[in-house]
Amino acid sequence: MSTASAREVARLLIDIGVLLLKSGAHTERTIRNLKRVAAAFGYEPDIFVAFSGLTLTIHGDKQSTTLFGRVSAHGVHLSTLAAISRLTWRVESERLSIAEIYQELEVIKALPHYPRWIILLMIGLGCGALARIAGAEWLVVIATVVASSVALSVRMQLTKWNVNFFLVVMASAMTATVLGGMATSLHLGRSSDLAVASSVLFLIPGVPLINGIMDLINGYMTIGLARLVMGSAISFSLSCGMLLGMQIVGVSI
Amino acid sequence: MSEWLNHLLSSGETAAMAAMTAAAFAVFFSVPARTLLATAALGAFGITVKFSLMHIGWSVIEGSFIASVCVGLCGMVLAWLYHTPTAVFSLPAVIPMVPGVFAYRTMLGVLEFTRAAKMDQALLMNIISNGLTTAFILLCLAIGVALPNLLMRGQSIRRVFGKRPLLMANK
Repeated sequence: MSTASAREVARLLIDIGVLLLKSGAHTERTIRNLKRVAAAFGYEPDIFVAFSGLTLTIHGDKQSTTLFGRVSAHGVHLSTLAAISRLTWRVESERLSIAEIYQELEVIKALPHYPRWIILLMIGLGCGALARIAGAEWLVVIATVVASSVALSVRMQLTKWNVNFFLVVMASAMTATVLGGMATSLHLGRSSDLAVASSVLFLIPGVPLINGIMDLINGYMTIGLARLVMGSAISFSLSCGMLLGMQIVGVSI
Repeated sequence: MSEWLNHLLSSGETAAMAAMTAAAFAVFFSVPARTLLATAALGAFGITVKFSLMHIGWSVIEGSFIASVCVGLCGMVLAWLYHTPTAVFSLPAVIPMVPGVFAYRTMLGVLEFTRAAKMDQALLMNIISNGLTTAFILLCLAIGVALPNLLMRGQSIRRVFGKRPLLMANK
């Protein structure tokens, strides 16, 4: 068994835990991964996960260590979750040392998102496909593709400028609605309202809502409720943005 | 005969569209590139189950529930094969079933209701029906994605299913 002081292991666990929570892991997954790493060093941590950070205590022979790590943003990066999951198994099977684990973590932290234009293209096509599934004509599908791609690029740009997250969602939803609403103004087809309904779907906070329900199911009430409230707040600003957009283009309500 | 063919064609198109949507959101969520194809296939499978059930007369809520449960279960097997968290597969794969149109109608209905000069019962019924449909479908999708977690209850898939077959043990 690799050896390390309680303090070193606690530091490591906090770093891994923060990375997991930032990448969209639910509480149960976070705790399971951290306990696996700690067990490889012969420790059994007590972990408390909250929406804004996690606290854990490792009980050593002489003294216990408690650390807190802050989670500043809740994004989604599933590759990171997959990579950390593999890493924790390797820690167990290959007896990695603390330094080796940090080396691997650096690699994982540097995992890229897909290139910007691929994401824009795919989300455009994806929302267009959703409109088609709902029964839109092809012209309306094209309007949806344009509206959602432009709305996503607005969202990316505003995020880069560090605008408040809810305002970003609102502005992005407004853009999608204005552009999608053009389909109605230009009389592209019977189903032209589907362009508005489908082009905002990439803004739906699916990950916070599903993680929230999973946390509640597993008994982590505080963070579960926080996630659901966050999801509702995002949905609310999404609707606000759509209403503003509809006022602007005057889609018949 | 031609009606049957038509049905097959349209469900083929829907499946292709769902695959596109699932792949798009997989990219949006930054999944590992090696899982993209399987995710798209799972998305197509889910929506085919849903529309097949609706074709034989099930409601949209029941159809979504069974479909998302199927997606959750298949996601478990795929997660084990590819050695990733289940969410990598099941989360993008349920997105094509998101009730966007019902949510949109609910929103428009509420807006119209606040503007209405007098009580409009038909409108109120519309809002309630669309709103509940939206909520129940979303809940069903969440249950489908959470299902592996419910079944495993704190254990890792690898502990229960055993080691992966050598064939897929890449890296």
